[in-house]
Amino acid sequence: MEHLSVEEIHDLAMRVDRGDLQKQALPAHLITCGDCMQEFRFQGVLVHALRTHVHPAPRSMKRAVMNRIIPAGESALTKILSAGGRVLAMAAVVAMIVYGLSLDLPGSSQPGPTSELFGQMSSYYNVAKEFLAAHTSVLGTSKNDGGEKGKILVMTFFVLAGLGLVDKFVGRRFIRMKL
Amino acid sequence: MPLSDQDILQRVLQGDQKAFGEIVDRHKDRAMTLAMRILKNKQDAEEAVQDSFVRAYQALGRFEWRSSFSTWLYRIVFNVCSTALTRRGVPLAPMDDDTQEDRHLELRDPAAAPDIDLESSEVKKAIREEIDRLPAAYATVLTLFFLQEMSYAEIVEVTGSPLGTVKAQLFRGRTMLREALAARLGRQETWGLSGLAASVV
Repeated sequence: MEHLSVEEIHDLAMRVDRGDLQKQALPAHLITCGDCMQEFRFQGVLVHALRTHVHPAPRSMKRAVMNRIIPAGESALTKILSAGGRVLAMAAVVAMIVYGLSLDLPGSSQPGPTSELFGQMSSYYNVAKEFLAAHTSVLGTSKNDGGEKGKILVMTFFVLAGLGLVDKFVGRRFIRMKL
Repeated sequence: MPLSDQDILQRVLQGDQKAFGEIVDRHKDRAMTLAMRILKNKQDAEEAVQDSFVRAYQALGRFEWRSSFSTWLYRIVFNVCSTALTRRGVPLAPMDDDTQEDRHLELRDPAAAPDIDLESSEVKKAIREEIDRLPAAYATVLTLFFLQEMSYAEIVEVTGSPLGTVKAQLFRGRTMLREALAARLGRQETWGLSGLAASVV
């Protein structure tokens, strides 16, 4: 009696598994031959065991691959979000300065937040100025000491630097996480 | 109706880079499984699969569709993993002879065909664990044949091994698996005529 080949049995097992072949339609030899039936069942269980023993790739796999294919920060959405974020940051700075100045209008009895902040900054500025004046003659010739324009420029510089740092270390990471 | 691999890859070739993400989603688990069977280390397997997808993307323009995309991808995974094994100084395959002989009749060796209830959960668990213990070459061929449902010809294409070697590895892997199950589970359980055997008689 000639047995079915492994490939034939495998093919039968796959067809039964897919529902393409009814068990009743299996070859007579397979049904009556204990060895072939054993091989048939072994293959069926082996396939099932292998299918349920898949090693899933981590969820980050797709992103990791795509980041290598499309360099980070190059996607259109990232560009839009990044540009939009900068515009919003600039608008926030301007709004903050304008708002602060509006609370510090001439004639107001209470000092506004800008004046308070400027007061603090002025103290640091004066300390630095005195220190530098003691060590160099360059700043001593300035006639614009403590001027409002200078204060605003210094404040704007610090605010922009702070926002830049926030954008670099927080904003961009957040954008990448969302993408 | 979901797009075929070929449809998606055509979009990628036309400049839609992000469409490749769909390909990664479709094939990453099976690619990872194949890599795990070969490398038997999760971190190495993840790196190998990631590298394989990137290489596939970079070589996509040269893919000629003489085989299915998955066969081509698994060949890349296989090669990347083989290279990783070589770097470790571990040979992928025990040397197998290239006999074209159909080993089917040898499967009837009682020592290799234990009388055990293959459908019990204990046996299924044992099969999974023993598969992980098989030499990489055997586990690879078994996975490609039984899980990926590849033909001998496709496995030859993936592994680059001659047909005789593939058949021998499939035979030996299966035999080792059966022997390991016999040793582990004993032969006290019997087939009887339960399950499928009973339903078809």
